[in-house]
Amino acid sequence: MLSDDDLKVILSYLSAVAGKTVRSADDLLAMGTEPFLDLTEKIPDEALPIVVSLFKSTLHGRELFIKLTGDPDEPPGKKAAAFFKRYSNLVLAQEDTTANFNPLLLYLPPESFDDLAFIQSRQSFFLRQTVDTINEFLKTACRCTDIFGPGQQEEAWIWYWNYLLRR
Amino acid sequence: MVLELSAQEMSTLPGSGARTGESTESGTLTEVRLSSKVVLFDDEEHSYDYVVEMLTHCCEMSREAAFRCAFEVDMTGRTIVFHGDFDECKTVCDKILTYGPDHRLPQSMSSMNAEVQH
Repeated sequence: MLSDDDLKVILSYLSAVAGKTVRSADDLLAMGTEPFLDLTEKIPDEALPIVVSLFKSTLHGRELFIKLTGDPDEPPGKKAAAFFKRYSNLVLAQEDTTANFNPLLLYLPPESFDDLAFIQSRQSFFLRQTVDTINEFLKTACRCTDIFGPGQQEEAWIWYWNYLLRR
Repeated sequence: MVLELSAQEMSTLPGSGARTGESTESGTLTEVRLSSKVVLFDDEEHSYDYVVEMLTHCCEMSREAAFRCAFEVDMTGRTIVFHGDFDECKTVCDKILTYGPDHRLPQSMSSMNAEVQH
């Protein structure tokens, strides 16, 4: 949920983009579908996810969703399709970044290694990763020279836990 | 419940690739028995990437249709991901319920929640 201050900032931003005062989600609801989609087109990529979170945080999520998808009784328009294509490119992991994304490096950062209770809480998360992800993590974060094979997630976890205890 | 849909309306339904019905004598409408649907519910434990991957696998959706469903469930709390008879919906629902947690998120401990509705 957005704080009141964040909400005010986003509404001020939308007012500037729209060229008229937007005081609340009700003002957005009052817009026609096409002007609403025109407004989303003016929002830069880096701001679009934040604006969408505004839509979600209001009580009018369903009505605003219908505005973004167009009239349910008519096929989705080009503007709605363009919005979804653009938003999906922002939100979904792209193929060129997926290969480099290692969730263990993100959610088990080295600065957390002294907090064994925290690490223990992430054991199931560690164990459901692929062994390639685990090997990369152990090599990068722990300078592990061992390479674990398919199905050796448990062994990898034991190595990792012993490494933490030795530090 | 019998639902009469034009061919164009049929093509916009999620999961429509899995089911077609009998043509009427006129050939202009397709009468299809869609007695049930699978509804997916929102939670805070699954990413957009997971939802798209799961729906393309379990419901045979296109990536674009799966993303729209992911967006709807995120915005409104629920989305219909499949239409069909009860047995078909039960099969799809079971696939969703057993797909597993999202490996991208440490707080994800289980599959998403879905149910068959009439």
